[in-house]
Amino acid sequence: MIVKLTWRNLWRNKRRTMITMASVSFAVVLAVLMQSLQKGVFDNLIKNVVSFYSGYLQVHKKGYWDEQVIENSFALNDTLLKEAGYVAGVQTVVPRIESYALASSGAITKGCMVCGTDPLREDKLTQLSGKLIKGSYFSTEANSVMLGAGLAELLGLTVNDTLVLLGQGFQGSLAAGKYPVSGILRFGSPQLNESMVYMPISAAQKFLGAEGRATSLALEITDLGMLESIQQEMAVSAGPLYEVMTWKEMMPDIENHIRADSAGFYIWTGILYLIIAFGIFSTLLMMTAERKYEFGMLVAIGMKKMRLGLMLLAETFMITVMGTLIGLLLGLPLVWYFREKPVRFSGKMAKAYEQFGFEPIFPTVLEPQIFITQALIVFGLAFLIGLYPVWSAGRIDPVKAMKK
Amino acid sequence: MLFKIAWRNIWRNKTRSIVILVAVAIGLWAGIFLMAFYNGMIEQRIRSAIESEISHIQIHHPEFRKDYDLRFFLPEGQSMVESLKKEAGVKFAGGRMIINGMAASAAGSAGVRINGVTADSEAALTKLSGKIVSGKYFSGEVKNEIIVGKKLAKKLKLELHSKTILTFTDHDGDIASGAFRIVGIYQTVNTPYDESNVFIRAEDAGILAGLPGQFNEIALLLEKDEDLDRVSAALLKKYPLLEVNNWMEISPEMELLVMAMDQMMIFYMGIIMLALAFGIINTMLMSVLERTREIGMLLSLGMNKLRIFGMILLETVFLVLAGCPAGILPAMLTILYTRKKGIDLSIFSDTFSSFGYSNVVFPSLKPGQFGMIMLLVVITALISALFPARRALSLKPAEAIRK
Repeated sequence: MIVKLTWRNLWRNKRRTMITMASVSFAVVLAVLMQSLQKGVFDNLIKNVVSFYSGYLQVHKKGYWDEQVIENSFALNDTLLKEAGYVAGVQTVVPRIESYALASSGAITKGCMVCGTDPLREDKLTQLSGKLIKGSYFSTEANSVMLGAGLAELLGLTVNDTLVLLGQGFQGSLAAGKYPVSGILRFGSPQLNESMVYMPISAAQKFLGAEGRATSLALEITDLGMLESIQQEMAVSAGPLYEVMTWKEMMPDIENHIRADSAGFYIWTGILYLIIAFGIFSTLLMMTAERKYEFGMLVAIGMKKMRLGLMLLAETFMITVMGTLIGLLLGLPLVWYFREKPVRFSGKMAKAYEQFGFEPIFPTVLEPQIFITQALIVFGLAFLIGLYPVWSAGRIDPVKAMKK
Repeated sequence: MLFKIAWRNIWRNKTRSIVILVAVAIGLWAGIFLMAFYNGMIEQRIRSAIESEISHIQIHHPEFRKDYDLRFFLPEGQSMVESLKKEAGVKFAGGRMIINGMAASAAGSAGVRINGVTADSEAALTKLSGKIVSGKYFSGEVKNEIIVGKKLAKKLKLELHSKTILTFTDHDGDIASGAFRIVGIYQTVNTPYDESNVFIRAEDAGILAGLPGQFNEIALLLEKDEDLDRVSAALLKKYPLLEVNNWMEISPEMELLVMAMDQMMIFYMGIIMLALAFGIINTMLMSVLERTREIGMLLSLGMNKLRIFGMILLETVFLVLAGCPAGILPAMLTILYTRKKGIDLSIFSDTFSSFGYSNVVFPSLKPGQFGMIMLLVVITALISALFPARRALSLKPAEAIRK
């Protein structure tokens, strides 16, 4: 009986039902959009930061991070490389051999960071070829180097000049070599710009007297959400002689900034919920006012207030459920659209982004988790607010209510 | 006449009027408060970087930053610092003697940046004294005191009161070295920084480097962040031969982070305004539904549609106008209160306060923004009122009156 009454009530005044439902739906859409955008922007920021150099994850010989010397390198056997590639979610594995060395040209000598890497894989991870401003990108067999623009300027070098590298090699050997400069790279980060020397990994291994060795494997992953699980899986397959570190452990200051920022957004989200809640409440308030006569009539002809309340509760429930579902349906394509065609910004900020080699965009993420949580939160809010008409019907005075 | 009807309508149905009034008030409150909160957030973020690491402005010899060569010091650094302190808008100025060198102990050696600083000015510029985790800050009583990072101390197995040897190339290109006694160990969130930066007193650094009493870096803190461009320009004019960098040039990564947040919050503001607009539209639509009979009656009495439209619009204007003070006042109170108390965000995330990193936001509002938000909310409210008013126009009098 109540179900029937409820159903008829919903259809009797379609416009009213639609308006109430719309207020819930829009709330869901906005909440979902806001969360997806926030997550997307932060993920993108992380992606940008790790594509500077580090990658999302790195595998080293245990103790390397604390003491970054060539003695802490490991034998780069194919099994480790392959196993890393087999871990689900790992997109690219970049083997690198890194060491500090002295770079000189003529009378000028500067400290630099020599990074021997796999040209193709490195390009996938850090888009290195995109940072080339002069010369050509190196190939795997080449015996040449690419320098950061700042370092090249300090040393007065340009493409086709010769760079002399001096340093300490593996097991105390002396590392020395002369290399033609094949390309100049411009990095957004001044630190990289003034210190990086890239070589193909085989040339770097020869230079450092560490044939077949590497200091780190940098990993590119497909899904940031899987970071921790990949770390664990990787640690298991690499064994106890290795350490697997995430970007958070390698760059705690950046992690700290991002965390501090996301804390601020809780306040914004809270205020959004407040406004959403008030929007739904006022809609229901007006609905109750409009139906005062009707409620009064029902009570007057003998409907128990309890049953009236139950009926309204059922109405609220149906409207909220449908409103939430519609909100999800509307939100899905919207979030998807903004993921595929992210908001582009322009002006001073876009220029700054481009200097760093980033795309000036605000993408969203499409995560079921966000949809479910936000839908539940809004549903909970709306249902709680939906108790208001029930409460108000419980206090109705039929005579007053029916008076015109 | 229209005014009178609109005015009476407002008082006739108090619930409806209050709902709309409150919607506007909440929108205004949220808008103004969020704007202030956002200002506070940006300020806090920049501040924690500026006040603990880079300062607002740094001045160097134009060649210095390329290679940290000691030949490129600031001539008359001492008197420059004194005159900079008196510059309008400058809160604090301090000089440093920065040297790249090596720190060695029995356990090994490491490349470090030796920051030769003036004890009291460094306490004001980067709050170094607050980052000490064991030992003390410079006492100034003995020569050759050094403060090292926790990470470096671990690496070189340095202990409090033990000695470390600093070696570097001095002003004339000769090797200089000196023994320094560790008086304190500091720690920041930035471990690589801790590993590569040590602090000694500028006097000691100057003597060792063969440049007694000289500086090669001057850092400035400003009274207000907004003065940055103005003061930079003034300094460039005053010292045309030197390099004047603001914090954004020194740490472009920081600028990027700040700007990304900046842009994002504009979107958030948009989403919140949308939520507000939908709230008002829905409420007004409901109220038109409720008033179907009344409007139908007016129509059949011969009131023309334009006037009905005007009447509903006028009602909304009255309500919005009344809602403004109702929103502004609480917003101001909230801002005043939180400004005094600060909003501690560390409850939402892990605290890093042990590293001297505070995450307390102090909302603040600029007058221009205040007007902008008010305009935004009022326009949102008025536009939201248009839809239901149009809805009312499409009513058919005969149907509307029928029960």
